[in-house]
Amino acid sequence: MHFGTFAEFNTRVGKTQAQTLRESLREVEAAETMGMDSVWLAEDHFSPANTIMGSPFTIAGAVAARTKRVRIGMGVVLLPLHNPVRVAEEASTLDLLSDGRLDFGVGRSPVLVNYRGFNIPYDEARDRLSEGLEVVKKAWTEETFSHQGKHWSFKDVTLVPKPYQSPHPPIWFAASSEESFVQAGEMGLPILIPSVTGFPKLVERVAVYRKVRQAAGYSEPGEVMLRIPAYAAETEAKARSEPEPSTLHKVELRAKILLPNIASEDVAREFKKASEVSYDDILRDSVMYGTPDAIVDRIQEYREMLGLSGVILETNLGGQIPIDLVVNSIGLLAKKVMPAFK
Amino acid sequence: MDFGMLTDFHVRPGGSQPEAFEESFRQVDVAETLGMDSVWLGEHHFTPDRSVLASPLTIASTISARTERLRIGLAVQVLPLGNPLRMAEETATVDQISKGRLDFGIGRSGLTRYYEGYNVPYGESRARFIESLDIIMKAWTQERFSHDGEYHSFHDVTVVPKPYQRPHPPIRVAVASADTFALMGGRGFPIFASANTPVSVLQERLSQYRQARREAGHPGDGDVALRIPAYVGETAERARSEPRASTEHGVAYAASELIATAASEEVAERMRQAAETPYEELLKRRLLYGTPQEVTERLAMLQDELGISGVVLEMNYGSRIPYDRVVISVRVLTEKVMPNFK
Repeated sequence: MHFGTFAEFNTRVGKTQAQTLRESLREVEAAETMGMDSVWLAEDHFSPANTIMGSPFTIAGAVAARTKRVRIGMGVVLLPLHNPVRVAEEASTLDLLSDGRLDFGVGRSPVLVNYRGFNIPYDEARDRLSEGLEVVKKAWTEETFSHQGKHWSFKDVTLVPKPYQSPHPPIWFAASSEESFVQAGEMGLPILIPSVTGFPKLVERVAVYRKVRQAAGYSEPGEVMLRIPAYAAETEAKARSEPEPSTLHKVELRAKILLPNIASEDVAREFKKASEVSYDDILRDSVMYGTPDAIVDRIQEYREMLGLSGVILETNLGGQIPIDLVVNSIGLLAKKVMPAFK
Repeated sequence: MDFGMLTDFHVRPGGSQPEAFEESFRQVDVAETLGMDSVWLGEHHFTPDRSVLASPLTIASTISARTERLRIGLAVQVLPLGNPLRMAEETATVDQISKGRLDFGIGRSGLTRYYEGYNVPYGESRARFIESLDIIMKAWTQERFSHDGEYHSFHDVTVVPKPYQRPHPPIRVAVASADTFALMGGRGFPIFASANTPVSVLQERLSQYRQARREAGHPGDGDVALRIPAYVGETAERARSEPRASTEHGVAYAASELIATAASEEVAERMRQAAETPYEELLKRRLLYGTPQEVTERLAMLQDELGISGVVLEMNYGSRIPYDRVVISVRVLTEKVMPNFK
């Protein structure tokens, strides 16, 4: 089973953007040092209170230089916002910089701030995502390609460089709304799913994904990786108390910044629910905070429930857990949880 | 005087794209170790036999993580091809990662091939350049900004992160055509000039640049970096013979490949002339090749004639000088030429 960490580069309250960047990079380095399989970088724009991660490829360039081993995941590139040829160039470059360690995740993001900022209508997002992905794949795999589409036209373009991995880096599709599970199934792509969607729904939607996938002629069941907050400590009490302020900070951010800006009503309901719950509810339903043994049991449970091929652990939900504690937790996750699944 | 090295991530004949990356990174490490002041990255698209440098900001980020001291410049980012909002985020991110070592060199590029690939009309390049620059400046320096322009409209956007350098990274503009010298002087920007332009013509244009600066009320004499091929050898004979084949290839390549896609007739004509100029003549006029003493004298003369404040040295013009020779040339340059100008 694949074990990754998720770095959102959340703004540290009372610190500079430079400090936020440096602490976040330390978390990434800890994942490398402790033996995690991958680090995943999000993309989010124009919310200084939330995150500084507007340019994941740029950050990934630094991550590639500071690591030798971990895979570097885009979790995810908001493809509808960008020129797909530009993205194809950047992703190839990153794949080369990292000797083929790129996992290319794409998605729409339900957060409207991103679309308003780039001045792109959200109702075009789905189309732009599939067209963008088509262009990226052509650009990577065809010596010279042309494309005549609804949003983009390119003629006789030879993309340079080409990716290091052949035929191209693995592509992942982020799914939270039901239609995204369907779209991913139709395209036969592996999926990244967030725990914040809630487990009864995830079980239903993963089943839909697999059904659609099979109907579309893909024989394998499809890889599913669950993104979920995780914090490990030596005792249950510490695992509960240490990440509490940061987790509640995240809940507040969701309520204040994200909730007024969510595109789909369905996803908005999930966010709303997630912003109204108590810390006890959160601990029970949507995060894995505990001793390594307790976390092993939780992952085991989710793996069976969803047929997971991997987990992507959000090791500093909210971004306010002190860095030394985060590093300690990553160490426990890598040394005492991960081996149970390898 | 600032001593910079242009690093073009060129592809050697028969060499692979990963090898192009590896060699260029090694060359950057050499520049860091030997004490060059800066490295400068070009931007090239869709030209597999020339360069893999399509995503200079991604690469700049990698260089930031590999080095401690060098300034990292773009020479130049082709502004009209990118989304200015995204470039503002990327540059600010690199500036943060490098702790304020980014120099933002910008231009339009004279090559229409890049524009054709991106499906942007070259005729719009100047207007797009100016509009993009305005947007990037606003995005960097204003907490929140809006822009309603010919090519881009953004409403109420907060770009995250902000640059590390305040108010923003230095901007330097590549100028080639006669009217842009005065235009950029009037706006008070430092500029790049190219040794492809004959010294007498450059003198005239630089005086227009300086006059426009004065008239617009900018203090000082301006800031001009000269881009020029350079090679330092132990004897006069070796300094001429060792880079000869590569240089002749570079000139012939410019004549055969670049003319076809050059937007400016003046630039195309200059390339044609260069291709017909004997090597001995090029050495006198367009190249900075020689013993440490010869290069020192020549550089002092250029400083005197043009009032340059820095050089961006193409240490492997034509991209076929054996790597080890390039390293020796950089070493001798930093040990025996650079100190004379510090």
